[in-house]
Parts: sequence; structure tokens; C-alpha cells
Amino acid sequence: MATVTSWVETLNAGETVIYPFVGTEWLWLIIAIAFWIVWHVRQSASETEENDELASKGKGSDDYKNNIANW
Amino acid sequence: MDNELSALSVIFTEFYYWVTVVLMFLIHVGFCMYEVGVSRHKNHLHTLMKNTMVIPLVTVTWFFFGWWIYWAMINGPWIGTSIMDGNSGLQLGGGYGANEVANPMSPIMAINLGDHINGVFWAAFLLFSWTAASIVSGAVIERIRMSAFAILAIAIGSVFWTIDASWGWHFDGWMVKVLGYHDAYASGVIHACAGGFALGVLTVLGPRIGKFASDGTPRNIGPRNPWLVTVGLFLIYTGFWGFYAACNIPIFDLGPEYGLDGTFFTATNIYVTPTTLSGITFNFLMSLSGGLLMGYWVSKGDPFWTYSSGLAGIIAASAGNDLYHPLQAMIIGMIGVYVAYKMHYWVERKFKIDDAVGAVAVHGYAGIVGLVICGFVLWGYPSSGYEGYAAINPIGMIIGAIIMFGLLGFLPGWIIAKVLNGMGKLRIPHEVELAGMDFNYMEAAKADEDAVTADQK
Repeated sequence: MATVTSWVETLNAGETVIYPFVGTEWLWLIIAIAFWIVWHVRQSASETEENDELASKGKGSDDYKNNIANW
Repeated sequence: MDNELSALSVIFTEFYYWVTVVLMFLIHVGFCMYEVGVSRHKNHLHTLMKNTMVIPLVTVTWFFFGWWIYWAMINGPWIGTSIMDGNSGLQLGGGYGANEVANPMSPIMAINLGDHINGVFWAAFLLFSWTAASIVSGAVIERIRMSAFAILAIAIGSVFWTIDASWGWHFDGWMVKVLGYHDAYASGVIHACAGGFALGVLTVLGPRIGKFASDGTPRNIGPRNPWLVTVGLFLIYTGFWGFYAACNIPIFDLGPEYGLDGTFFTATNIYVTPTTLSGITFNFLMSLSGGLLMGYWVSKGDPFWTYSSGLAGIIAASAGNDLYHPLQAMIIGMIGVYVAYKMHYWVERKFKIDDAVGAVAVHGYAGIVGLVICGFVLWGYPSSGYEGYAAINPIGMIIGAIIMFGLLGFLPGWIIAKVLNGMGKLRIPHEVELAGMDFNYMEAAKADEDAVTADQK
């Protein structure tokens, strides 16, 4: 539902809040916080997996030099 | 905005803060370039991404709760008494200090035709928050887990510096009222706090492999790319101009505010005491120059330290740069740099602290020096134009430095790092540190190159 359907009516009425779905801010906040927490959990798990895989390769401190691309 | 003049004033203030935010974005660009320049080839991309992700992580948490904390903690809680009690005429928006505005669900935390300031003010403070997290980011490169840094960045960027700003960087903050704390351009509230936080983390994180010889002698690692470091620090200087402007209120009538006879339009600092944009421009450049001169001298022309010392010079003078004479700003910048440089190497040797970019020195030690000196040089100045505030004094500023660097900096950094370390989530595995965090990326890129080259033959 549009919060504003007529600029003339809105401005004449002194309405200042113009974003859509006024009153549902709590719902958007819950979704955003849930995503934020899930992001941390998934990122940490992914990082652990990547680190374990790399550690198992047993590479030395200079081995990366063989992987320097020249393009 | 019921007439052209008041509309012009409001829109000017809105645009002013908006411009400072854009300028301050360069600080983050500079920090990214600087960190990558200091890191080794095998860690470039992880180093870059670590600092880049400060932007979204601190931004969303600053929206969720950081801005709310700033307005919620002014009295401690339970330490001071707010002057925004409705009788003083300072209570804004039906309860600004009570967080009706800074609440993330408030209609004013969005596009609102009745407000032109909250968003740009929120953003200006947010850019300070990125800086606080970036300061820590540089110190811990090449061995911290991204997931650990993400938590630490949010802790310093959206929680702990925010509390200290609420206490000591707000016209109604209890430290200003009770201690006479004065920190106009954030020697303490950002730099000492973030520097202390970085030191707390480093104490637990430990040095990079090979940083110290078996007899404890420190070795220099990098910088690998001095040009990135150079451009990065120049960009940080540039963004710092925006930071200085953002710390001011550009136009304010102190007449009714202070009960003066008539009007007195001026720029003010965050405490609503008068200064001028012109005057702080003198002091910014003179403290930068004092820092560069001392840095070049004490480091015998080392480019890394000379550039960093320009920054440290500004940081040391920042607490009182709203009132200092330019020559005072220059000399205070020089003293701050000298102490920061000497402290860096003493702490490195004594406690085996590997601060990869000198962040604790440039921000932490220079910030502390700035606060202490400010207490003496500005001794007796009123910390506010409102009634009942303590005057600026050395004891209040020394206590303030301890709160900033120790209580809200070092201590939470150390505790969070200890917890993460206890869970095995703080540091990357030894084998990964040796191989380099970018090993897999580089290996894949090399394989792609070999495949393309083979096809071209």
C-alpha cells in the first residue's frame, strides 16, 4: 500500500513519513538482524572449511611464489 | 523551515554534513590501500577484504544499535544528570536523549520530510566508526581470522567507541560535566580508544611468524609496496579534513542557547562551544607539519614513519585544536609523535607486540599524549557554555585518557580476544599463515593463466 497517493494531500496534511508500509518497521528489523546473524555463522563455518583445506596441503612459506600469475 | 533564511540554514547544514561524509570515505580507501601495501603478496586479498567488510558490518550494526547507544549512555548510566530535561529547552523531538529518534524503528531513521539532519549526522558518526574499526584492522593483519575480526570490528565500531563518545563527546556527556573532559577532534574518543582496543587484541593474538628472532629481537616485515602506503596515507590525510569539519556544527546561534544579549552565530564544536572552521584549518595543517617534521627527524627519514607521524601529529593536537594557537598545535603534534615513536619500539621489544602498521602508537599513544597535554594547556577553560559543568583540567583529562585507552579500549579488546582465542576462533592455523591466506586464490589464478597460455600456443 502506498503511503503517499497524492503529494498535495500529503503535504497539506503535514505528513512527513513517506516510505512504504509505515508501521511494519519491526518486521524489517527482525529480518535484517536475522540475516546479519546468519551471515556471521555461515562466514565462520566457510572460513574454517577453507582454512582446514589449505592447512592440509602443507605448503611452505615460499610456495606461493610458484603461483604468481604474470598476466 | 517556514521562511527562506531558516530553510537555507537547515539545507546548508544538511549539505555540509553530507560533504564531510563523502570526504571521510577517503579515510577508508586510504586505510585499505595502506594495509594492502604493508601486507605481503600472499595475503593481499584477504587483507583487503577484511577491511572492506568493515563497511557493511559496522554500518548495519550502527543502524541496529550503535546510534541508539550514543544517545542512550550520556549519563553513564547513573553517573551524571542530563540537562535535556525538558526545562532547559534542549529536549529535541520529544525525547532525543531518550532514543525516540535513534531507535532503528523510529520514523525519523528514514526519509522524513520533517527532518534533514538525523541521517547525515548518523552517517558522519558512522564514518568515525569505520575509522575506529580500521585502526584495529591494520594492527592485526596476516594472522587473524576474518570471522574474529568481524566481531571485533563491530565491538569497537558500534559499541565501545560509541559508549565513550556518549560519555565524552556529547554536549550532555557525564565526562564533560563531571571531569571537564575536552576532546574536540577525538584524540581520545576515537584514536586512544581504538589504539587501546588494538593493543588488547594484539596482546592475545601474538606476533606474526618470524617477527621476532629466537633471542627476542624484532624484525621488520615489509612494507611490500611503499607506493600504496604513500597514497593510502595521503588519502587518510585528505579524509581527515572531512573528519575535522564533521566534528563541528557549522552554524549555530549561541545567543538563546547561552542566554546572551542578542544573537551570536558561529561554528561550534561537538560541545556547542564556539570555534571557527578557519581557525581549525590553521591548527590542522600546523599539527600535521609538526608531526611530519618530528617523524622525519626521529625516524631518520624513514618514509613509513614520517607519513604515519603526520597523522600522529594531528591526532595528538586534536583534543584542543578548537582552541589552540597554531604554534601550540605544531609543538603538541611534535611531542605526540616523539612519544608515540619511542613507545612503539619500547613496547615491541619489551612485550613482543607485533603491531604491523604502528596503529597503537599513531592512534593510541599519540591520542593519550594529546589528552594529557590538552588538560594542561586548556586548564581553566569552560568545558561547556551551559551551567554546572567542570572546567577543563589535567586530572579530568588524565582520568579521561585512562577511560578511553584502558577501560573502553584495551580491556574490552583483550577480553573479547581472550574469549575468541579460547574457542579457537581468533587466529588462523599455523600452516595457513605459512602458506599465505591467498594461496588458494593465487593457485587458481595461476592455473587459469597456464590453461589460457596453453590454448594460445
